[in-house]
Amino acid sequence: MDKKADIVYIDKVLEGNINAFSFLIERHKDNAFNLAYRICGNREEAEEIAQDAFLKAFRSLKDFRKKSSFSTWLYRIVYNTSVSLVRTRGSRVLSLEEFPADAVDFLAESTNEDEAVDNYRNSLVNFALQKLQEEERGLITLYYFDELETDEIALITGIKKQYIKVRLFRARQKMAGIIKNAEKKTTYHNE
Amino acid sequence: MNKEEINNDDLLRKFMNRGNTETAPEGFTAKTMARIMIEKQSATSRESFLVRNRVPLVSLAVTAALVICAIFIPAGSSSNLGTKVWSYFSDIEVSLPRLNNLWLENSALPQWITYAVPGILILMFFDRALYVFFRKKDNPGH
Repeated sequence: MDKKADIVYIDKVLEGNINAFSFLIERHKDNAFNLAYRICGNREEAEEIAQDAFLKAFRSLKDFRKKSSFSTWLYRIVYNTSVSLVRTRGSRVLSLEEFPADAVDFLAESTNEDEAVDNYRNSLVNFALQKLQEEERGLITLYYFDELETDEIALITGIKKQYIKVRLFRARQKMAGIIKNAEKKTTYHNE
Repeated sequence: MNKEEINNDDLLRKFMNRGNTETAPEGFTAKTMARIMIEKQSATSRESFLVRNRVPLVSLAVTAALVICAIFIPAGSSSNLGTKVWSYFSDIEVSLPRLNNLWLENSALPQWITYAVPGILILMFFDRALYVFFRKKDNPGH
């Protein structure tokens, strides 16, 4: 259903109705931004990457083969752009001390406890993600946030399906280790 | 998955799910569309410059090629560059049947001119026709 709706808008754009592209942006902007953000770890850069990806998609829309889904195609652009940007500028190595460990810090900035817990978890996830390789960040994001199957992840990342499972296993182990370690150091206790 | 893997997986699912997706900043769609519009406009103007000026551009390229050729033609005499180029063209043999070039009969122009001029006119006519045809195809609304 979603795929069909995308095709409708793509056809409109190809017929000359450029404004129809805004519907495609509206439908996919959050996922595109989230993937870029989780890989590069910076909101400004992520916005730039996501915008660039939509621009590239617009330029190459004529070449888009409608057999695959637009989201997979777009994710591939976002993934490649993000990974190459991080490789070019280099990852910032974070130390555990850089993580604002106390959940109370988040409570002070949030309107309620639930929001504080969400913010704390989000920060912890970002912190842990930045400790991984850029490719692993992409895999984790696509697998957990976007809940995609390994087949689709393979299409997006260009990594073979059998290697996806191996890399996911390693990334999961690292990520869980970092989260557990960070949680031990916090004053936050899960109910 | 073994027990440890399952625990790790559960932990990550608790922290990461669709509900925790970072949303794009406000005005993202408008900003992206603005960039697309600028890109589209500049691409159109770039294209139209090349399309509009392709005849002089091609002429310029051909002229440049001819000048380069003329420079590299071995100099048989002490004649100047213009004479060298002219002698080069006057020596070109055209293997087509000779046209009845009455008006050129007594002129000093070489034979190939009688083929080149109508050839250029025909090419320009087809270029114009194809341009109009593809322009209509690209912009069906216009």
